[in-house]
Amino acid sequence: MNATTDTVALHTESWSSVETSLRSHVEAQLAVGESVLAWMISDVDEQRRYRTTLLVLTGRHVFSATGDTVRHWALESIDKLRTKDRGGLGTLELLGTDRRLGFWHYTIAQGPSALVMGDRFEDLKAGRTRTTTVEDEDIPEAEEHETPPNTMALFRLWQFAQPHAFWMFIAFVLSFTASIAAVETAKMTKPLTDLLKNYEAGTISSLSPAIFYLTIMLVAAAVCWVLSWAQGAILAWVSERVTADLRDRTYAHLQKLSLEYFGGKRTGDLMSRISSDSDRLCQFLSDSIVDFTANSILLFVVAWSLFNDNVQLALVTLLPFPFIVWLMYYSRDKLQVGFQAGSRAWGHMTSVLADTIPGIRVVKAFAQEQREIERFRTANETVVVANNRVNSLWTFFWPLITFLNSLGVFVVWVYGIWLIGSRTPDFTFGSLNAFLLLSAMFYGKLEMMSRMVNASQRAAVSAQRIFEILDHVSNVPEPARPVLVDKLKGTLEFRHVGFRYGNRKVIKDFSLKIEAGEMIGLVGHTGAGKSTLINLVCRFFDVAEGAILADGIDIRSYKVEQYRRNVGIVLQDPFLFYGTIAENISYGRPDATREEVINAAKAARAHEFILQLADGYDSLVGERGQSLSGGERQRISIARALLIDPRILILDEATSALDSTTERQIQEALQNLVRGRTTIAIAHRLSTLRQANRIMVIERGRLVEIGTHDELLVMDGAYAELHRAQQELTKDIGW
Amino acid sequence: MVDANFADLSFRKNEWGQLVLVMLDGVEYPGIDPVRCFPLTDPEHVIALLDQEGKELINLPSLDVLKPESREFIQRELAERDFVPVIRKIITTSAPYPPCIWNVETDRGKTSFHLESEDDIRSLGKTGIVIADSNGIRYKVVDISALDASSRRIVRQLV
Repeated sequence: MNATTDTVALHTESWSSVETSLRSHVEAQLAVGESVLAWMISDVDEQRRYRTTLLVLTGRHVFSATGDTVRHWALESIDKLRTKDRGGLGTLELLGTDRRLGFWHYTIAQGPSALVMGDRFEDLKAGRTRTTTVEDEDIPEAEEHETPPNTMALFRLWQFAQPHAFWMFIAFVLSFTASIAAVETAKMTKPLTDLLKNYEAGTISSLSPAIFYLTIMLVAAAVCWVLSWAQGAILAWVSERVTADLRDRTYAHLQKLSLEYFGGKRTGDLMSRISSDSDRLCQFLSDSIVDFTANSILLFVVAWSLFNDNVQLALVTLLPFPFIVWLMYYSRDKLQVGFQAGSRAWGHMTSVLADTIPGIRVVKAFAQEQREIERFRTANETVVVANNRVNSLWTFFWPLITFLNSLGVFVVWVYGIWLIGSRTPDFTFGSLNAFLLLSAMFYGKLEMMSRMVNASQRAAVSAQRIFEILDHVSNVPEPARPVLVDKLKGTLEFRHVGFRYGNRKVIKDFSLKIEAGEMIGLVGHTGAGKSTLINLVCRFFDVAEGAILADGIDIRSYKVEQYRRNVGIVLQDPFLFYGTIAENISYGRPDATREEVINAAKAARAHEFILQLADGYDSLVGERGQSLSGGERQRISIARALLIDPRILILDEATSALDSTTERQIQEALQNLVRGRTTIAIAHRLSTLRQANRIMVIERGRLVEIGTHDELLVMDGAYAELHRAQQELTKDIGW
Repeated sequence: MVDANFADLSFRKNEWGQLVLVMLDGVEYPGIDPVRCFPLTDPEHVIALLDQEGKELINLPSLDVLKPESREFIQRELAERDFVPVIRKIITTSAPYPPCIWNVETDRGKTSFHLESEDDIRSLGKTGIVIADSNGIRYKVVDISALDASSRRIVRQLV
């Protein structure tokens, strides 16, 4: 009784989150004591347009409310609530005894509530009352992620620069002092020029004060040199550090992302983001940002001393300045789009490489070299076109900015000549000269800065491409309150597991309990969902519906890394990393002793053939282990799985790529591996599943049969049929 | 596969809302699912008729081989099964680059979706794009240059 009240309470609570305008119409029609058991939103109407309909299941009726139209069906008249989905759109059908009563569409986001509604309906029909809430509500809470700040990518680099804030501050101080020194050098022009002019005019007889000015000039220049050097060195070091940190962080983040992310990504593009984009960023940070900060400080100092000297003239000098800034700002946007296209084209080109180099055997086997050359050329051409577009933009803006800069100095000449011509008091030839130098410095620096618009935009695009990786939250999140585990016992339970790949539903309502140490054979046609099931057990993906439990606890409650330590996997085509055989065997446990490595290799029947190699366990194997045969590679991967001593073992068609003699050897190796572990083995050849305690057959994502080999043969269903087919094949081609 | 003269095929809808294929000899196949084989590159040709189990019964090279009533019927059914909203205008985006949320106006009304990555956008012919959202629902832009200026700008930054 108590539990029932809880359930109702829970639903009234979530029920109150429904928009009142929708809710009130249904509530008005509820009879006394009729409570809401489940509800869902259908967000797409019968004509497949976006429109919200509220569907409600109570103890007596099903209601639908669209706007203020409410329809209802008595529970007795309904036979079934059926959900199906296709192309990302789900449909809930209300089936009566002799016809369909109604149907509603919904987007996947509403999927879970549709399933809950279906389940509740089944319960009602079966006369069950729910004592527990639905599994969906028990999903372990995932670690929270901050939503990425919505600011410009370049500014977000600050979080990486922050640890070096002290050095950056020092660099700024140095830069500032250097700027003042540079201005002081220029300022000496005024007294010097005036001194020379007076000497020429005969008003003074000695040039000795010049020594004083010249000394100041020289010292200031030297100070400027030393400071700029120190500042440059510091900032260059900082920027190298910042980009290296960024690269590390991005790569570490990438490693933690789920397989689903990699499934939808092109390897080459990812590589280009981490390598060339971060390199571009580093160049910007070390070269441009040093200049940029130094120059912008200098601009202020120069402008300040211009105003100090002569406000009127300073205003005239800075006349073209707003135009230049506007032009820089305007070109910036245009450039950014261009650079984006350029980076994307570059990523695409690397993708072509990353695609064809590993696939070179296929390319050659089908004699498609010419086509691949063409494909690369096209990608390369796109890079050229994209870059050309930027270049032509830039070549247009750049001379224009240069022109405006020279105009600035020109304006000073014109105004200065006019001032001297009108014999303005206090305005000497020296003042004009100093002004000219300062304004030339000002516009010279501005010109340098405008050149940086280019570099900064390029860097902004690169930063954005890197942050796109960093902003991606893993689909296999770490739990907020992890359950710590060292060694699992190895029981596995699937509870109403569902999984969708893209918009295809590959696993549907899959339930099964596997005891610790039991070996389960997994049989089914290609595409039946076998590999998906295994990916779910490995937590390469997370279930979309239901839950997988290991030792009675949802696997999403364990730390991903700790959980995976308990899972060993042997794949059909094992991947060997570049390195020695010993390194490859100890990949999952780098701290393993030599003895352990050898024992694992012996158990995997790999020891003898390894000793045949010239360098024994120190033999190098290539990127894809090309120097070893398929069977040899397989035995190494079995040794690798043995070494981590997993409680749960997965064999994904571990022997299907091998000839029968090799297969026999591998079978022996596998027997050692399987002993005492919970094992799920996928196999095409049923003969390899002789030792399995139970064999399950799945078809189109559903479990259709389960039992021992003999039981299944007696059942004479899908398994028996497969068995017969294979025996005939064996007779025909003599396997 | 069922052998039949394409022109003899007729269809009806039963009380369960299913599409029923009716053969010349009166044999009926309920729960038919018409599927375009090349929904993006050549939607009008090669259309498969699947039975309830997803097995192909008939493969039509094009709808023109059917008699006019049947053709209209299947056309209507296909239109009903398609759910690829055509984006008319991008109202807002939560950020200029993915991952971000797009608020869009489509031929099926307003909606919003989560765009995870640039890679979820693929080009469709010379002028169009197809966008897959985080739930696998696809959206189409038939001609980028026909969009309004601000929407076009958002798209051009990504393609």
